[in-house]
Amino acid sequence: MTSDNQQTTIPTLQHTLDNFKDCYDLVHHSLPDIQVDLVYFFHMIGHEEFDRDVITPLTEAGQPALQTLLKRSQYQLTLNSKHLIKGILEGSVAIFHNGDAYLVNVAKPATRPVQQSESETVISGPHDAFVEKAELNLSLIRSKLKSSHLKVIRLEVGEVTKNAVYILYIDGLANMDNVNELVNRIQLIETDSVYDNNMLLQYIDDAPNSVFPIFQSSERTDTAVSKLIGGRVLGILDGSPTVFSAPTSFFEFFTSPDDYYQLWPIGTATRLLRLVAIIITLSFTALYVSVTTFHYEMIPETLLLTLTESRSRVPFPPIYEALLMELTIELLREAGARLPSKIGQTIGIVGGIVIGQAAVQAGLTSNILIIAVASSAIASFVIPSYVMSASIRLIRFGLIFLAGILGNLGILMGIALILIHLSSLTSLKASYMTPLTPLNLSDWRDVFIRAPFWAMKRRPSQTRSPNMIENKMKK
Amino acid sequence: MHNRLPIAVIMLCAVIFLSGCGEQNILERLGFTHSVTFDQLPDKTDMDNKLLIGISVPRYESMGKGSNREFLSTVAESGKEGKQKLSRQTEFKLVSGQMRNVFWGQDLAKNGVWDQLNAFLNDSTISPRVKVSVVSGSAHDLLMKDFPPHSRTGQYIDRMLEKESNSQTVVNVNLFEFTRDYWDDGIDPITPLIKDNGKEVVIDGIALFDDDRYVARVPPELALILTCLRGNVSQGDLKVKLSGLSHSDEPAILGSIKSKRSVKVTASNPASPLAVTLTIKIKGFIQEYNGDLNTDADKDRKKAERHIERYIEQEAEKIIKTMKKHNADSIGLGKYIRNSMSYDQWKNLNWKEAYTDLKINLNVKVNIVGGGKFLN
Amino acid sequence: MKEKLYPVHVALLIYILQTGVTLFSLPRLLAQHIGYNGWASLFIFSAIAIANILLIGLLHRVGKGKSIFVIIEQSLPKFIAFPLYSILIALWSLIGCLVMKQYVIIFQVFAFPGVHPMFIKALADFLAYALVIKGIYILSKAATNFFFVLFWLLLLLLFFVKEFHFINLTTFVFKDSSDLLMGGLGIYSAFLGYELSILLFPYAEKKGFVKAVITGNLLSTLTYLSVSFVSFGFYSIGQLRRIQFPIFDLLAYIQLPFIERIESLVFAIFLLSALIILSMYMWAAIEASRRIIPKANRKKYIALLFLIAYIVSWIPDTLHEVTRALRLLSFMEMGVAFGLPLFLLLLIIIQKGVKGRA
Repeated sequence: MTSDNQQTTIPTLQHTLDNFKDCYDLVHHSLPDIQVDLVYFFHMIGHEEFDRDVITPLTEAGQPALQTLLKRSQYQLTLNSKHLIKGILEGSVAIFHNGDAYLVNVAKPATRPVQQSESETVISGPHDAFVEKAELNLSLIRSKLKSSHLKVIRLEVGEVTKNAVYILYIDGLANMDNVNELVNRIQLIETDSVYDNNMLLQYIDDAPNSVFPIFQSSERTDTAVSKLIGGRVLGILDGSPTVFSAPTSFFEFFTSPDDYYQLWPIGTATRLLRLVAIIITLSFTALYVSVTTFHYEMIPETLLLTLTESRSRVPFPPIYEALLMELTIELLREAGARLPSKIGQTIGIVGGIVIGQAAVQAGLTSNILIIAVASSAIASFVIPSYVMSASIRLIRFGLIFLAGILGNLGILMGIALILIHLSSLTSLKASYMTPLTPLNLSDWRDVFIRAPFWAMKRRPSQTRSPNMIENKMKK
Repeated sequence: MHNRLPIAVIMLCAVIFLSGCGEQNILERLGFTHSVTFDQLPDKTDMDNKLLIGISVPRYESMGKGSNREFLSTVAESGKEGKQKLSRQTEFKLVSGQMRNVFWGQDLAKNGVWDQLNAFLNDSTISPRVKVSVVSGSAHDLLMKDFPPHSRTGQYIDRMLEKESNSQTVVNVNLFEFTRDYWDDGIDPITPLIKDNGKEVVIDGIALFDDDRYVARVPPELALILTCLRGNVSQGDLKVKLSGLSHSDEPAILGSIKSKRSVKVTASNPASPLAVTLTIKIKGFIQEYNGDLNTDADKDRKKAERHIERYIEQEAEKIIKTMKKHNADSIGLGKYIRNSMSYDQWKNLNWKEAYTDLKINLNVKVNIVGGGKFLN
Repeated sequence: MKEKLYPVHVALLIYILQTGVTLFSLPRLLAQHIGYNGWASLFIFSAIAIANILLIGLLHRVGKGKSIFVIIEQSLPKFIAFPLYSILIALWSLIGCLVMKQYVIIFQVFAFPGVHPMFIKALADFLAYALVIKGIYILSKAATNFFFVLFWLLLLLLFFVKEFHFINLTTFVFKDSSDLLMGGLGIYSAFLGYELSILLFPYAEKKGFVKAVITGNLLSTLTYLSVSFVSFGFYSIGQLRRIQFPIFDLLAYIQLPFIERIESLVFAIFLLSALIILSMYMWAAIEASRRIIPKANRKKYIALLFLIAYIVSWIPDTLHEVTRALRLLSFMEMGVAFGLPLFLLLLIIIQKGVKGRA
């Protein structure tokens, strides 16, 4: 919403041109025979629309009919200079005639075509992902959710960048408390600029200092629609290809659309596999450190030989060895993310295989640790949500450190701390750890396993939807 | 909260760093005691009960090359003192958490193993799955010797005991089982017996204990029968003798044995002699039999079964006689007697005495399930 | 979690609160003090606990779920109530701290024998502090989360199906007991924990509250029962009497292809249970102290209480001393468990009597 707290001035041509002084890309197009001045950004307008809606009607109408022409609805009479300037900035053409100013929306800024998302892929399923233009995203959602109950609220953030934020919800399925809370938080944001959805989320976060993400983001259209159907509230930021949904439960970050597109026994097995992967990624290296530093009696006899023999060549204690290897893997990962894809692949292979082998042979690490660190890293990539897998990787370092200090007790203290922290988190004022706390066994059918569709008729309890059973919406 | 956070973090770090460091048991700096031997020294010295203690510590850096273990020995009054003395002989920190075997020398076992047992039980790092055995001879000398081409002696014996116990020619007794039977007034413990045979280590039978003293030996051929007397058996081969048309003793093997034991107390009045009926039902396959009996024919089979039954009863009687003579209730009949009388009766009964008068009715039933590959 | 604790969470909270470190030595206590087949006596102890819980339930119904402090302050003047509160504060905070100290000292059987237990306890106290300052709702959520980590441990009992021998149980029942009274009280202290439910009145949903507490107690009894029953069949009774922590040896016996001797890991997981016990008792003490100084900065006086309790719990040094101190405190706590609801019921009757006459 524009703030009208500055003095409103009547928009004049001169005033507008002064405002845009030194803007080379602004065009001042004069049509003296009909006494019309056009002001616009040449790169933001669509030229067909410009011809169709501006040039052709104006030149055809001629001087006398101009006044009547300009009464048509696509020509908006603008009385506020701030409004006019905003319109020009958004890609409209400003038409000055007889002291009046009109705006025509012919905007067509450059945008990326709809393509597959790079960070969230599924094996089989829709491959269309959101783009940076919010209007295009809205059309993608509307085409998948054809219901008039889908409501859209428009807000603005960023004093300088003035990004539009659209809040979507399905009336009758979403709890209005959630909607109002979200709208409230966004309106309270005071900042110059918001570049991306993830940045926006950090402003409206329930717990901004937490290591866990509070709201889930996605680039996929089917995910977004399913969140809406579940009774959640969706937020789209203009300029960002990700949308977020609220409220979010901790376990949502571990589900993928693939689970639903495959048969339910396979979906269940995949979910259980992810659970195992989380346990591995958190505890494997930490257990290695703990066992080799404090609790040698836990090693079975057959493994003892290999383990001791490979450890005996390493000059430093297990905790340093483990932290060194983990650090190396993180460096490799981060470097791989920054490099262009052609070089990135080579580094991955070189780093993974050659450096790993060389490190073992040089005696800097032991084989078993390489296996532990590598499987932890791979297991962490099983988590579908990138932000959550980054959080888990960070926690892993904490656990390794604690394991090196206090062995098994240290690991459990770390786990206790994590669980205590998780218990206190809320997402849009709903408990983060649903459906463990509050305990809701019927929700488990869609969280820890994937029940067949005939068994999943209820919406997630976290959303506190007024309509908990599917297929029962009033038309 | 924001201005107190740094202070809390600093205090936390201080506590964390002060806690764990210095107490570490880093893997490659440890010397894992794999096997321990205890022997009694002859009383030539002025102190009684001097122990000869030997430990075998595998060394992992020289995997596969030459002798990859260290054998250390010392003389001390107790196990703990011995450990201290031994640690002065090596650059590694000696730990007992990975101990697998304990060997008691014959002389020590005959005098009672309670002291060493007690020391082990008090050490919380020692696993209850440590195997115990008695060596016919000096345990120290056995462990010290290397037996090429076998691997490290401790491991060699360990694996042999495991394998043999799977085929039921010997029992595999660990610290937990020994202690359990020692403290149970209804049964006495047993352990395997091993011996140095010059080039190899061999199983020498089963050692019977009366409380904590080694009192009798059951030879290896009878080991399986002892196991059948002691409980249910699900695997094993028994050498038996059959007599066919020629009426002479023909050797055969009764293999893949499944045996069920049941004990019934028939007279449980403590005033009069007690009696039990010990029933053993054995099922097995006849293997390696070259005699005349045709095991597929009913009449012959029954004849063979009877013959085997008699043979087993004979051998079992020998074992029972040995047990009674040395007052070792190795098959746990006391447990059944105990269950058959009231608490006060049992408490007042002197089981050791009553055991010698116990009447044991042995009842063996053999069932030949099948024969060899060829029909006779 | 809007306003009230649901019964499920109450049940799980009570379960973790009750099942404490005593679990690890319980079979020995039963064998020593109750005798042969002592595990069966757990039914009796559980029944006594249920009777106590029903008493608390009666108080809940008669008092219409009012906080106990409100009931006390309605009848008694402050100069009587406040010393009563002080005793409770001291009792509860010391119990919590000593339980944690006992846990730490026992853990040092496995590792870090040289480290001063108070260092590790300081870390544990920090975790408990983080939990207590967040309030009872988050405490109960954490307890539920901890439960889902803890309950897998019960599956470990399946390993002992093969090693369990019925004959080891013998046919004698409760024979050869010793020190029945003191020993029995010591065993009953394993069931303590439910008495804190009296403080949950204003926070929990009224419907199904008593049933939830009883369920928690039953879950705890089931845990104790299964563990003790397996112990009595696994060990011989003479053996069971002499091992200080039979459950450790039980766990040490489990051997898997990729790991063995898991007793230090399992006991480390029990830290979660000890944390809840410490946190709940400290929370109880905080609740009482809030009646005395309602205006003080919450975080500050919680920290203060932790500090004081920490210093006092420095005094008993060895496991023996700590166990003895805990025993004394648990006797007092048993008195509180039975006495407090009775006392409050009396107060209510008097109050109603007074009202009736007026």
